[in-house]
Amino acid sequence: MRETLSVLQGGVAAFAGSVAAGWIVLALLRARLQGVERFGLAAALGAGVYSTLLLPLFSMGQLRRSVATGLAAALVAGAVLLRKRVRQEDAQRGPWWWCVLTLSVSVLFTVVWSLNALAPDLTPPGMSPALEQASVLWAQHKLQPGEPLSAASPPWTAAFAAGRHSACSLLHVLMLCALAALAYGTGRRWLDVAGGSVAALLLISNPGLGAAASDAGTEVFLLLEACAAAAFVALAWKTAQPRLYAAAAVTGVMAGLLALDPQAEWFRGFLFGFVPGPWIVVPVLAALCAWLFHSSTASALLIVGFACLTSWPRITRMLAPSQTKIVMSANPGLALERKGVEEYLAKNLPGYTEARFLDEQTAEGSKILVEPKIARAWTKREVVTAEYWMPLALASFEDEYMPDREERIQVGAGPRTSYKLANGEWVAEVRFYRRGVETPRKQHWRVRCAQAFDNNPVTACREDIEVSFGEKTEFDEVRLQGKRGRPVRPPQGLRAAIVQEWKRQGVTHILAAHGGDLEDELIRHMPYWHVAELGERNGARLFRLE
Amino acid sequence: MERVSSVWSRAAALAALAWGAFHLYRAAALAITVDEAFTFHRFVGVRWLELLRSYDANHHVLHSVLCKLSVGALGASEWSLRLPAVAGGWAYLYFALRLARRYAGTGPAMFASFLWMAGLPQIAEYLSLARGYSLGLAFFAAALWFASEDEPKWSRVSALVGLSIASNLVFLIPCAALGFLALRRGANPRTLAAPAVAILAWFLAVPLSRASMDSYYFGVKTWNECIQSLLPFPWLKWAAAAVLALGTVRAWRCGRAREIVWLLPVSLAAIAILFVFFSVPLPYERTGIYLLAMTGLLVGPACRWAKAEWPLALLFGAAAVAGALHLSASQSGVWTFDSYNREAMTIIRSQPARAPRVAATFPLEHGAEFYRRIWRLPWPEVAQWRPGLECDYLLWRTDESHAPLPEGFEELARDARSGVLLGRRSAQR
Repeated sequence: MRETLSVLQGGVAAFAGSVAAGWIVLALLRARLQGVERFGLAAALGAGVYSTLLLPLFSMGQLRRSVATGLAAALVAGAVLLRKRVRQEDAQRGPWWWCVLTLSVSVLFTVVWSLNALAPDLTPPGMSPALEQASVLWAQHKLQPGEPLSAASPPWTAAFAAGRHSACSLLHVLMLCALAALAYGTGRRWLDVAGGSVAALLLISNPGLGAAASDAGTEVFLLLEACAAAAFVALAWKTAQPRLYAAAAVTGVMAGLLALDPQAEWFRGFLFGFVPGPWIVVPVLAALCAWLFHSSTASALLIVGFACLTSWPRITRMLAPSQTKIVMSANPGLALERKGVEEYLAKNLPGYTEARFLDEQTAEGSKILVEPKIARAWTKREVVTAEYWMPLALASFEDEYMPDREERIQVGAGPRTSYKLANGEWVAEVRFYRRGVETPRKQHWRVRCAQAFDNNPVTACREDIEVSFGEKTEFDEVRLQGKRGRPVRPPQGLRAAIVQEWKRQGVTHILAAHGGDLEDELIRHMPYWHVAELGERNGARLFRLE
Repeated sequence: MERVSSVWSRAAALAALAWGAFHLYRAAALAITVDEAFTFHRFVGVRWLELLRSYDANHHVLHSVLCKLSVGALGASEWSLRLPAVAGGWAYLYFALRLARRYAGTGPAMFASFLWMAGLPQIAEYLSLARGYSLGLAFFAAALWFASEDEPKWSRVSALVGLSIASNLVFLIPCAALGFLALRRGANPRTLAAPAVAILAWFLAVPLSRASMDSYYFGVKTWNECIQSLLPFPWLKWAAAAVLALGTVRAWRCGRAREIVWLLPVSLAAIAILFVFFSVPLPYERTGIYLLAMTGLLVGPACRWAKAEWPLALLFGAAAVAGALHLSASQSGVWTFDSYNREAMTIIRSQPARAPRVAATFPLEHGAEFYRRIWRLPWPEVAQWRPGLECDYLLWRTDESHAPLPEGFEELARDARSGVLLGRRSAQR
């Protein structure tokens, strides 16, 4: 429950900070807006302002939950003080039941998406730049000078500070609410209450937006900023408030910056799924539907009913084509009580539990070779994935990689200044001999395929070998150790050589996958590897290099 | 409805009743056909979820939904499966009669117009078959009727258009043409589109989410094939050509009927656009059924050409009746080979074998399997015949290949009309 409260604190505080910052700016601009419209526009405008306020705090190393929450509280207090400076225009009156319907359905869907957001980390594995940067910033406690930032990173980091990934997801869901509020307000202004309701309900219930919102990506944030920019321009022009062009510029710039982030592709529902195009078309289609249906109550109710019914996660899951990417079904028990979290995470986010394990068991600054797949955004430690280091480890126990062959190539006598050999096999060491005596390597030799000249039999390369001696050098034989030539006995101390190489690279730990050859090898020959086992989580074993 | 009491209008009403009664009888008497059986297997005799989330050109969604309700309420039989289509057929006859009165007056031209719309073989065939064509025609005719009022309620027209397309997707084209006419008459685009879109969302959005361009496979690639399939007899072609030529000119001159002149060319233009730019095949037989109904609207104006109403009405009416006479209550005009399905299965059922393995040459297995399912026979599923297949009874088509029964089978029964043989595994084997 405590964790859930932290998530709520992180998401709600960051959102409140954004809305309040936007409200203050609207007050300073002396904007004249209608009821609900103000909240959507304030959230969109405030996100950029709030980000700008957070950046100096991050640069000063004040990246703490209390600081982010304090800033949000201060902004909310300021907004309350200036609440009447945003002048309220009279809005069209419409049937009360449209408002009740819109509010109740919106709350229902907000709860559904929030439960998805609150459930353990439904974030794409390191695919969202904003989330990854938030994670890195949080790990570093400080914004490094010159470090490139996603536009969403500051508010995401503020939320992350309190409730990690889930708080970012919750903030994203609240931005979907702001988008729906903006749609309602705008629809009500330009059409009528029914039009606003249709637009808002089609957006809040859209399974694609809901799924994107309950992940910690930035798609809905982008849509909010883009729609707000368009709304500000329309308001500035139609209501003769040129000051609002400034707000349009801010939100437009934010939208432009966010558009640089990669966008996910979710199932956009049965109503909009047929229309090809990027994400931005969803609000446009919702606006089109609002225009189409606002004057026909029965049709509007039919279309809204269809959209809401088929967007309910369990129903969407039943009806949608199997190849589409669909939001997970909300699970209140899991979200609020965190029951069966380990099992849930192991099933839905492979590698996540292991990432948490690394954070718990290793010190800051550790460098870990990991065999299970782990998204880098999930841990503060530096992890090196298996594809980069596994061949080196395999050199000690896999025949395919072990340097157990030697080839002796006789070359014509006489001095040479260079030597070149076409290669396609693993070569661990290359040595030059003259009359059976090795020619010592010199510092000024220029070599290609450096792993074959480092006196370490476990480092190898498969590229062509080329040496420029820099002076006339005499040799009559070249010996290649690796996978070429006749079989020989492998060199002694391969495991120690591997550990030595890893230590040279700054590696401190190894995380071996459950049931793999590496785990078996490390446990069987632990004294030869000079490692100590630190523990096991979700089947993966963590070893420390001694 | 206009109060008319001419002899012709009473005769047309009586003809409609008689024709409707015939279709009621035909729905019960006709053995199941392959497309109906396919509909039953894929969309009616399955769970609701499967009905909603599958798509095929055969899936006429609103019709399938009504069939499922009907079969659920009355039990599975040919009659319950065809009930929605028959109801659609009755509704179509009703609105065809009203449209004929509206566009052709109360004289013999009206009677001929009604006969044309109700009796052309490619229309009449589907008024009692469990497909979505009669429902689609009924909703389309109703939409046309309400759209042709002096002050139409466009939202009602739009709802009917939506129901027509939901009944059968091929009606998208005539409904689009009707929408074009409505816009010409000053209809509000929003009022015209909103109810139809809302209805279509409910019925088609989920099934169509699984559709691809390959789903629209039924049709032909040349206009000649298209016309041949719609008007299978030479005299019908000549009559239709005369109706089109005379009717168009006359209707163009006449105030009220002028609006319907546009229906056909706009529909044809839409078909051509879909064919050329989206590779959607041209209508073939039933998928062009609306073109024939539209032609029927021109019969009235055509009969009034040069004040020769009587002879022209007689000519066009006779052509339609001659076409209608080809319709049989015991054999489908399209799937003639299916007329023996029920009888063959009854014969197999009366045989002493407890759980016989039945096979059939394509596509007879669909109909045979339909009867196995509705009679709840504890037999293995009816299989499609292929050489080497082990089976006890074989339904064998001879209408296409004239090939004898395969070796190892002896003839148990033969149906001369459909050309289907019922074979039994030889005892000496």
